[in-house]
Amino acid sequence: MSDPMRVAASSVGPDELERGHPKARDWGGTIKEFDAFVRARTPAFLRLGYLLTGDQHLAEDLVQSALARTLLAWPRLRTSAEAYTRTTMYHLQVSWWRRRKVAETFPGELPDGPGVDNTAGAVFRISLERALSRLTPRQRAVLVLRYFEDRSEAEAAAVLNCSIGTVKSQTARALSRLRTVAPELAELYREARKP
Amino acid sequence: MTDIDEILRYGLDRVSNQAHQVDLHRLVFQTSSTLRQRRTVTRTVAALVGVALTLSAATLLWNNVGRDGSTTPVDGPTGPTPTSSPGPDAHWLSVQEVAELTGIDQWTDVSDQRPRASGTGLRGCGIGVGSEMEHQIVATLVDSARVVEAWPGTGSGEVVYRVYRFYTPQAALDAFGPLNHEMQGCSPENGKAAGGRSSDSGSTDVRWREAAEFSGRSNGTSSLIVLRDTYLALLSWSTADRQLRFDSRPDRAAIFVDELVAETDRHEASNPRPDWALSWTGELGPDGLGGVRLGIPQAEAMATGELFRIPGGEDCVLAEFRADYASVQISRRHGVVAIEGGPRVFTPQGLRRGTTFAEFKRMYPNFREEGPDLFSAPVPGNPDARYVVNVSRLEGEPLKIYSLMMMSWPRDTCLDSRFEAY
Repeated sequence: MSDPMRVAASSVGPDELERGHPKARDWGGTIKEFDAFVRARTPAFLRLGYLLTGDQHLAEDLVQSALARTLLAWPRLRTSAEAYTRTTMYHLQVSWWRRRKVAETFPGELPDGPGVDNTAGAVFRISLERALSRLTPRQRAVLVLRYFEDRSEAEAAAVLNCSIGTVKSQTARALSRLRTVAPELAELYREARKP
Repeated sequence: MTDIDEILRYGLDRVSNQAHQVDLHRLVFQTSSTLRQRRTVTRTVAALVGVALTLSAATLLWNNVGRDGSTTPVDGPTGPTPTSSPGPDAHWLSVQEVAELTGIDQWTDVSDQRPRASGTGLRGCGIGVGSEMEHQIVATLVDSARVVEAWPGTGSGEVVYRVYRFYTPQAALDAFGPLNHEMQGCSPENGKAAGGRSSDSGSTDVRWREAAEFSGRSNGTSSLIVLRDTYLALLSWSTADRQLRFDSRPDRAAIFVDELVAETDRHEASNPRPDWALSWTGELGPDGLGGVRLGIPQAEAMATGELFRIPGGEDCVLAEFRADYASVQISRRHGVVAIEGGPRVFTPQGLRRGTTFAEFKRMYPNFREEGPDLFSAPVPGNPDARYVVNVSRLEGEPLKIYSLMMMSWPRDTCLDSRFEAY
């Protein structure tokens, strides 16, 4: 019988499995499968998390929370784990109720991140990050779904558990807000793409 | 004009590359484990601590021990158990005892939830936010009816921020100054620097109500679970080096809570709670709560005298009822748009915090799901409003309502920015 929860509850991690931890013997390949999934997919999830939150630590929190829930549901997921994790990330992030009253906001100045240099590309990216931080979580999520993950409006609606009309209106609002708060983006983009 | 689609496709890809790649697999296992264990542990400990507390309170009463206010020497987390306690030894919980009670033998900086990859700058004061210790403390305070409000799971995911309010007279807290100062790096000055809102009105009522205050956000630092100048737990966010900081001191925290509850009992024996604090209840619906009705403008709402305004906010102002922890959101355009029910607020149908989800469904058969663990139902007699409830999903417990709000519907979007900004 495979019960990832009991494995998790007894704090038997993948390393213990590899070392032949006595508590790990009964659980077969389940945890190893999950562990392989986490190792393989974490980079992609972190990229998505960073886009959704705009912050490395919050992104790590988001991915960690989503994967922890994926592990709880692992026996019934397996093949759809990727979609489940992504959907969970979106839900955790856009759920306004969970965010109410306390939220991190960007400081006035964006701190230097890694790899920042003086090229036009970096200027463009920082401007975009700053502009994205001015959007609501849901607007941000819609943009990420549509333009980063290249999902259709119907797919985005399914992930966010809302109507297609909401996706459309949120997208329109997000784009209009971007144009308002960062009118310079188009110019910076052209600079950045100059050969 | 370059197409915005193209800009975003290119730009989002670039932004996403800013994510550092870190190995999360161990944290995932730990978080998953914690999600499951949390409730079981909390309830067990709450029961045990409750018994210990009752015994010690009884002993105190029996001995009629007064408190001289002297500093209690307390060593670090691994130091000796203090011996100069005003109460009996059973009053104190050592790290070892906590470990035995909870079955958790590792007490490091919120390592059960959020160890930092960088491992630097992890000093603060209080205990780890999201740690089992925090749950134990809150369970103790809830058990003794000191916590009037607890919001788990704000922030991204369920583990980052927690907000609690405590119902404890200031005088009881004042007795803990020495202990507070004893905590390294936890001076009251630090607390003030953390900013956030304080009880801006000096009235006795407010001081009583807000003897323990949540400090929300200020430029550069967020702190949680602040008991005026005394911290139970603190999490701070420094914009200077972009580090979250915590500390866990389970031995001190356990001492603190037990003492605090005992001190509060002593204080209340000679200074009974104000009447309103004992008897006030409110009915939420169909138009509003008390004189504050959905849709009335801000000026009219404040003129009722039932609210005090929480500083900040432009498009969306937050206010609170003086009589209970019921908060009100006021949009500049639409007036009062949301009223949140405090612990003693009922709907005409009998819904309140703590109602089971099954009862909720019976009371409001036309409910619908709005999001994860979030449901809404029409307000009988008011087609322009809905009740919005959040259910807790704690393992081994029936689903229960833990937050209750009445909102103008469709929801005013000013709330969104307020949620982000506050």
